[in-house]
Amino acid sequence: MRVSTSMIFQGLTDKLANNAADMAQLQSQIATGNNYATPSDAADIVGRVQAVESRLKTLEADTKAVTRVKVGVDAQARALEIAAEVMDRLKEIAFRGANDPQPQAVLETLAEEVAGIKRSLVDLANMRDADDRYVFGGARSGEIPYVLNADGSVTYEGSTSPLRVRVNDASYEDASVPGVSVWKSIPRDGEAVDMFSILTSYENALRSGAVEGRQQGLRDVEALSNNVGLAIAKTGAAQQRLEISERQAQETAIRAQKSLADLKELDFAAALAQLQKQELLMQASQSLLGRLSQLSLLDSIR
Amino acid sequence: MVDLVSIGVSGLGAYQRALATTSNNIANLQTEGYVRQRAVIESAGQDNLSRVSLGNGARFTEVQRLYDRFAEENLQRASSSLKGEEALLKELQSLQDSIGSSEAGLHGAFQAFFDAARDLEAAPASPGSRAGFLAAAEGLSARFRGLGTAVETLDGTTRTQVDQAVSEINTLLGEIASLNTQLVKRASDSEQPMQLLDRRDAALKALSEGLGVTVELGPSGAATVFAGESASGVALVENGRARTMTVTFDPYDFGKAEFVLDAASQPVVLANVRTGTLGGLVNFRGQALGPTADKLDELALAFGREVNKLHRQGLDSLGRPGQDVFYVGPDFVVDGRANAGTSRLGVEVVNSNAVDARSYEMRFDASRNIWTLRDLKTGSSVQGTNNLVMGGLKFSIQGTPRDGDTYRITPESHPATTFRTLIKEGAEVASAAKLVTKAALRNFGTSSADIHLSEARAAETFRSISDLLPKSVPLGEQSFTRNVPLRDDTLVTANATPIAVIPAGYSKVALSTSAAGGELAIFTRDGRQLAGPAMAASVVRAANGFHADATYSDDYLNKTGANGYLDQSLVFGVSQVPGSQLDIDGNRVLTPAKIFGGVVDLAGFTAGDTVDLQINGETVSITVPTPVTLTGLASAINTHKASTKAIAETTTDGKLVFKSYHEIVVPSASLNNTSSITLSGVAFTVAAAQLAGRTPAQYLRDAINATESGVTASVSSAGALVLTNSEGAAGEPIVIGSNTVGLTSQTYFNDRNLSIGVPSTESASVLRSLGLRNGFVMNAALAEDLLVFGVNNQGLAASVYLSGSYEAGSVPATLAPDAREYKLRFESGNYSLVDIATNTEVAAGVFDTTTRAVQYGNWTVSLSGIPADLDEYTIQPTDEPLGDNRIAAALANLQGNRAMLASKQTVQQEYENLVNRVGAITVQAEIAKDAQQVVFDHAREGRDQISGVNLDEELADLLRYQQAYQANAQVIQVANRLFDSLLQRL
Repeated sequence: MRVSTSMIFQGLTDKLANNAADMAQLQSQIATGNNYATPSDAADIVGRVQAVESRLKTLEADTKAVTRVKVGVDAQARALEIAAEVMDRLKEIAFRGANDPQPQAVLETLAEEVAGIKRSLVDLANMRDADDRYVFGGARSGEIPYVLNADGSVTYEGSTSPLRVRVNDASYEDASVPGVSVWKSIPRDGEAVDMFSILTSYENALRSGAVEGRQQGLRDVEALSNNVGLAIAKTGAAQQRLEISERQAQETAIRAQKSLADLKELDFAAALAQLQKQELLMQASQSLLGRLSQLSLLDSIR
Repeated sequence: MVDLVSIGVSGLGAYQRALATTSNNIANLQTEGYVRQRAVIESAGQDNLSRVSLGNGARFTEVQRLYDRFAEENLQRASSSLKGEEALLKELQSLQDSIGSSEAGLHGAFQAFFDAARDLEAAPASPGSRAGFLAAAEGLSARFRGLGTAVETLDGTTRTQVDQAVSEINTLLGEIASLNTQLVKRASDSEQPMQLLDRRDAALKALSEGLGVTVELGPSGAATVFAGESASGVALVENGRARTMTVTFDPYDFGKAEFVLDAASQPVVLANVRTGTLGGLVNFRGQALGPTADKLDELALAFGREVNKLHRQGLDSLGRPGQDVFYVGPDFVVDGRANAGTSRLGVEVVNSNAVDARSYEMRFDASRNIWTLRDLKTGSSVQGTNNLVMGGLKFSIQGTPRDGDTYRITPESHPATTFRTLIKEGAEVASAAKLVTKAALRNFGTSSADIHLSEARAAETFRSISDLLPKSVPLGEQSFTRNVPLRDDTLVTANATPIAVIPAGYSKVALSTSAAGGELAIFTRDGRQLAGPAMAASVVRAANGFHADATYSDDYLNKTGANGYLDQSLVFGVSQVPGSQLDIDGNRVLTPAKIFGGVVDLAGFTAGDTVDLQINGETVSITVPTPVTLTGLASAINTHKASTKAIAETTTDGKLVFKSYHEIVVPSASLNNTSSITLSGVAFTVAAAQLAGRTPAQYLRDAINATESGVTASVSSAGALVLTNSEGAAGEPIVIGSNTVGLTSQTYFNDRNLSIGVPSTESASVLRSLGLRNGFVMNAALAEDLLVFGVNNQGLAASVYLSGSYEAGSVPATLAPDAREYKLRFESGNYSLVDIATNTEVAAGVFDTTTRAVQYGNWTVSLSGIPADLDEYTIQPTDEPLGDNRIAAALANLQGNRAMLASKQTVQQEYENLVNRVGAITVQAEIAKDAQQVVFDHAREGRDQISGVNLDEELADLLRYQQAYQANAQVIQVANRLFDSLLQRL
């Protein structure tokens, strides 16, 4: 094959340019610690890298959401724990109050205590968490849910929808639950009567000394106590679910980080070896160019 | 001897030229396009003597150009392909660096937005969360704009490159044409100066780098150049003529560019520009830049609109309805510079969800006084006088156009580049839902109830009343008036399904049926019958346009006002409003509402019977006089005028005229023993001395009734003075002059409406016997559709002769289902939904225990369980929006929403697909470029093998020719010596 002078030099300079470009890229990779310096260096994987990065951020957001919901659920649990203690005392009162006969003065004392317990329960039902949310107001978490009226009655101003927060791709937890689903009504004479009305009527029964009312109070207090117990169980389950969600998010994040590292982070050993190889190639090419430029028939025929 | 010298001289000359040729090759070692030359030396012939032949030396015959046309064309083609791939790859890499960057791309910005929405979801009352959400929204807007701008910048730079390439191509085409002009002067290319041919080849190679061409060489070496891969179509260069190429870009579609040859004279569109730098740039714009711009726009529009839609469903922290979070274009530019008229066109967005980046043309036809608006993409058009709506845009013309005036409306900027955040304060973030549910404390059931705004329930559609009666006669000109006896009745044949729908927002609806037959029955889609003969409950089914769970109710049938549906004025009968006119001074005067009946059918009444009428919403029982006479009937009706505020008057031709009753009430507290009042110029003053035990009101009553003032007075049970028109002037204006009873001195017009109907207990035929048409009248608009059935007296499907009027409008905000309070009550497995303000049961039905949802209007209540008997929930506008997170949650959930885009992908997935798609094209382009580089290197080697200069080879030739030259010189020297020797012998 006939070879022209420009063919020889063009081929060598092309190779030198390619080598220089490869070395520049390797140096950039080593300097940044990434597999690529610009997205176009790894056009086939940048889409995947972005997806994994977003997934990681979603998992961080999951963990953050769990933390914020936990604040609310923990406050619910604390309120219910206290309520359970209050209910125990209420049961004692109810037992004493159901005994007949009882001196009216004792019944009056018990009635006063029931009135105090009712106010305590209203306070518990208006529990706020560290984020200043009323945890029994549902979606209406910024305003006091239970209002104690001047006539002693209690009205619920909260929402029947919970303040629901997504804690992962598929699950939600309630940072604030509707109070009516916790401080529930109980049936009496075929009708639903709310907890505070029950306590008011029991207080009245104690004050009036009506035996039937006091005995009804004993049954009602048992039912109310059961409701609180059920609510505690539900809140405990929510706390457990939150723990699991948090752990899941953290473990998935570790896996996602590994995927991201595989895609994005540089294998330094391989890169340094490659750099050495490129340097050798570069030196060889330069040396070759030097030698070729010295080779001339002109020199030989002087 | 002489021969020997001449032989030496011939060799000397030949090798001198050969040396010059070789030197020329060496000199042009690095000259682009240079083709190696070779000296051709031949024997100079011989002298034929008798027995021997002696040669005459050597002759330099030619300089040969070592050129292979195939190799040269190969190189041109390879060069064209390589340049195309290089240009494509370079731009693709720029694009990929923009969209694929974690910092500048959209993926991360979407993620930040969703993270911020989740933060807001967890703590809606937190100012930090609200500020974070706004910052993320701003960040996303900036990314959209940044990417949009990057794409526009690439559009600009590639346009410039294309323009430059076209300019260089035109220069080269001109140069080739000019070379052709010189080449054709000689018949054969072998006669051509080699420099000329080298210049031709260099120009062709440069041209190939810019644009893929096919070249045909003529015998003279003149090149005919065609664009593309074959020598067909219009030649770019032919002999001495070069065509001029121009390029035009679609101002909006980055993927479109049109190349035209000789645009100014005989334009020819050049298709298939695929190789060369130009082809590479065009491919980049078509394959990557255009689709990327389209995808960014699609994402901006879909995401922006979805966020705005959700946000508008919410309330901000101050309880105000949520506004749009984002502005998403496109922005339009209007061009009407060439128009002769003085019109101006304004374009505004009326439905941002429907706006698409399309070009429109609007043209005026003076002969029909009509503008035609055409969508230039789809070709669809609409016509109108000055306000036209198309594609979510309203085009409004002001001023005076001339025939043929045309506006061109083109999208100016891409949606992605216009993307910006509209709300600026954290308090404006509408994280709360508009509605909230509250449960009664005594609810026994444990179900929690969620409410959210939803799309209106799907229902069978029927034609609108405006389709059925396209000519809506203004209400004031209804044929209820005397002088319009002929009506444009439309025969609607009997149909079991609704004959029409009165759409939500329609007001001033007055439908009437002629005596020829038929009545109307009006329903809500929830099965409430509002007017007409009672129909069977079985009419309420989905096929008839009712909602799937609707049930029949006649609770509001033929009732109006406080007893009617939502306390609305809905009349089953006829109705009229006061007439409005201007007096000679331009003052507006009202004439009383009147209804002129036809001839009364006295035979339709039985003496002594009672018939019920509903006059102005008041149900009254009329006792039919004995015998049945027209005046008797009128008197019977007028006995109720105090409560109905209407009177009936007779005409000589056996008809009744109903008039609205005019009444001015002066409360007793405004009257005293010195009160005075002037009526139609006649003054009346209480004279204390003449009271004679009467109250001032009674005194004035007697005084007024004793005088002809056109006014009749009475005293109400509350002691008030009631002024009405005297008989024969019912409803006419009453002129009040100076007075001390607290009235303004002015003419009091009668602005009362008049309606006459029948209650549900009465047959609609009573109205016809009174000479009246029947129908349905509704003054104010409702927020829901009404179904209209054509029925007979018994409520069975029947043909109807129908006419009427209506006015299209918007849904009244106060009646919108998301603005009112409702009570949702459950009993025996059924639910009942009552509008609290009007105590109207707007819907009722069986509670669906599968879906556990109740839908009404534009909201849905979902219960977590099955409610207990008598459980009640209140649905009301949210009154405490700060702690409500439901819209924030919905915004956060957009991250997984696959319904936003036609591809059924989430926005992040769709963007990832875009990055991957551009990445795949980039990788392909890299591979293609590498492959083309190999092809090019081979082609270059192939060409250089023949035409390239090898320095060693040339040096060897140089030595060879030098030696030959020296040897020839020696021949001359030998000849010289021989000659000298000869001379010495002599």
